[in-house]
Amino acid sequence: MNTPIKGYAFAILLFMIVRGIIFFQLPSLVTKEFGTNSWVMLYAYTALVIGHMYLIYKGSKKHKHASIWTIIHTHFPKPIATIFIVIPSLLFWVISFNLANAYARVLQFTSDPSVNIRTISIIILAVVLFTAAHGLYTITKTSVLYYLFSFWIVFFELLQFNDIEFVRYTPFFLKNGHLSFNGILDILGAFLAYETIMFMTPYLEKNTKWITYAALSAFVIGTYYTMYCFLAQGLLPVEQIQDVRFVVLRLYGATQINALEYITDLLFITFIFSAILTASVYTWSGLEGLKTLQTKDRHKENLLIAGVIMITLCYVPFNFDESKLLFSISNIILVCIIVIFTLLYFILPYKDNKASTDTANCDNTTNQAGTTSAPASSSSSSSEGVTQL
Amino acid sequence: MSVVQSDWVELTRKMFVNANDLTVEAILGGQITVMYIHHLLNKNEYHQVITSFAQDSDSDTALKRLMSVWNPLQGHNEQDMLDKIAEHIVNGDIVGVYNNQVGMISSGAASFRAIQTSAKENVITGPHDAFVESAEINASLIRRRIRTPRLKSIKYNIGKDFPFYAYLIYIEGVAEEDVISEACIRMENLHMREVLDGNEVAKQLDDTPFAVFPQWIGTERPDSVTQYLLNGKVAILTDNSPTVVVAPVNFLDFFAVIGDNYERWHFSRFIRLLRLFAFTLTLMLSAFYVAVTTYHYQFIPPTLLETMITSRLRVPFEPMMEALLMEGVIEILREAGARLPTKIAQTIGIVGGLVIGQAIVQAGLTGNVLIVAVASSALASFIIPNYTLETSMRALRFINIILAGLMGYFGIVIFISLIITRLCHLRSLNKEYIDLSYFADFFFWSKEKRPRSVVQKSYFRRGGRS
Repeated sequence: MNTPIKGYAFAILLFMIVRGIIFFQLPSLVTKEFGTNSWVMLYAYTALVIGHMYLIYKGSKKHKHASIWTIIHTHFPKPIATIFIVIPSLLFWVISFNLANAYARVLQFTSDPSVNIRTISIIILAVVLFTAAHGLYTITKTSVLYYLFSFWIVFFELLQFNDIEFVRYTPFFLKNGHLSFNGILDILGAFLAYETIMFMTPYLEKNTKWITYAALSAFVIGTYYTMYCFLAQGLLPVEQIQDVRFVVLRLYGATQINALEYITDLLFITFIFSAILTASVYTWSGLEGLKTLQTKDRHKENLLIAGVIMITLCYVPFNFDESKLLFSISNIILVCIIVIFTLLYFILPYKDNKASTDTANCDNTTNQAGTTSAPASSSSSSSEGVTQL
Repeated sequence: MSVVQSDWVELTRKMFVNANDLTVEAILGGQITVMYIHHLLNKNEYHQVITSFAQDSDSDTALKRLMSVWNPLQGHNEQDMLDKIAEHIVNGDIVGVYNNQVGMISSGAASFRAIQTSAKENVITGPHDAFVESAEINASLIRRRIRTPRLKSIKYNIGKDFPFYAYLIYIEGVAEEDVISEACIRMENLHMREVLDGNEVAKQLDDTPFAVFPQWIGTERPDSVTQYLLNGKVAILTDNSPTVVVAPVNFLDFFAVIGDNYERWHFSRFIRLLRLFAFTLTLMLSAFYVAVTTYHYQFIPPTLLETMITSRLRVPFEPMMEALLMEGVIEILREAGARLPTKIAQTIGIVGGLVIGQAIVQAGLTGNVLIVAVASSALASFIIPNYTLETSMRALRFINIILAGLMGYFGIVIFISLIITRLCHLRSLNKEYIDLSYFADFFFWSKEKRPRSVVQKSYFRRGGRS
């Protein structure tokens, strides 16, 4: 029996993985797409996300909390299931690379132009692999601690309400925007990562209505984004805000606390926790997918495959625009996969498959949650009930 | 089995050949032969169990009286019998042979260190007694505090080639069943070549043996162990060691000492926060200095930056090398202070701290600001109550400095990420090492935890002034 993830920890995990790297440019993106007072649109996105979460909840309930990997594996013939599982898994590892790469680029922009993006990406990905290898339970617990380390930063922003100019909120709502399909998807990208719930459901507390915690988390994220967007649109003119690359960092720099001016970049660095967690959850989801297809525990081999793919990508010489394009393409494919998976929940009938697949998968990954009476074969190897990497 | 009386004595002599501390003595006019190792005997008790019987009576009466209090020894065969004789002799008992009958009597333990205050864990408020190098005496110190038959003590021989004894202690109904069964399984499977201290046993029982952080708490204080047992943990007493190890532990347990409970609540919570702060300081301060002076000048206010530049003006090394050098010197001083006799150690401390520190700065090998950082982090490390955890941090600090020197703040954050992930993954006796629900217990004092009979209603509930 694995230790299930508690509701509050699940909510914090979602908060930490959704609050990703796009957050730094979100006010610029929203303003560019929707124009004046566009902060209000972020609640529309939040509502969309919560609605989709509810669909996942209903679908997962129908399949007795089985993960979407298990559902695919039990309903389709092996070749089709393999395609349905391997392609998204590969995509998740590409997304992990994207996140590490994007973070390295922001670090280069904020800290030092001489920062080697490839080296930083590889280091981040190594930490991501290390974290993902420990399984979802450890990732969740880590997210709670990361959250405690970084949540206080938001209070600094509240001090800026004195500096905003209310005249900037007086134009009509949603004027002068340049709406585009890609832009809308880019903004949606700031809310993505919540879809990994589809792989987490077997590990959540069974008697907890996780949708409540998930919705709460999404609402907090929506409010968090809205606050930053609202502040940015009050501090900078609409025309200017679209051209600022990382407008949220500018907000930190404009704070009224003198000491904070000096540590703006340091505050940014704490966001690496979110980047690591998001990439870890995606990597873990990919590993879970591969595991579903395997009869034996090949945790180390799967980690190696994921590592090789992600680090190979680091050696592809992407420039800034190409990286951005890869990010956008990945997002589009991800959205397509999310839609397909959500439909599968409702199209496919429930099939009792516990004995054959789901249980085996659970044991493989989150064994660190531990069986309490695992027999120890020798004195120093008494940690048999604990995940060994 | 017809073996003549002299055979047991001779066989025992052969077994203990070249062991000159074995004494074979014929008493009561040669009617009975006693064998013992005189180093292990308590001389006063020897008089009570042997020579006192011979006083004021003839040898036959004395023999009858003596035999009436001795415990007979029996074995399945000759080898078994010999093993039993040897076991009793090496445990400090007296074995007597009379007319082919073998008996034994305990003469009490040889001298042990008296029960004193622990040199490792100082006490300000609370009981001053500490464990000694005898598992039996240590067990008695615990039993005196927990007077119930529910306090269980299971003896294990954990020696591989030679017998080494350890006791698993827990309170039935308080410790969780799965914790007890896990501890029992691990003890049953434990066979060590040498057991010289309780900490050695703990290392072998770790869930993750190669982890940097300790997964068992070692203590020399009986009141600490009592509290841990009452909180549902299990303890292991090792013979010949004053260190009792306890599990399952939570990471925050290493920052709490029993003395906290004896203080007023506000101070104990404040001091716990201070210890956590000191933990962070120990790990981070020198690394932070290295990161700032190497990469992130923009984080320093101009006046402070000016001071730092002035202090580093004559320093020929990179900040990372400078910090490693100073940390290395501090570690050497600390180790020298720990190994030398107290009076010399004090001198070393003064010489190291004042003379060498001042000389290093004047020689231009390091800057003043770094001396402040290194000294502060060394001082902070002393606040942490657990020595094993402190040593773990001392090693980790060097890694953090190197990462900060290579990558600045980014390196420090990577270091923090790895540490946190590892800590979240660790388990102690199959229980979580970082238990989030424990945070509240650690920081907040609950009135509900006091006995119901003494919990008084609040001022307002009492209805105003009393």
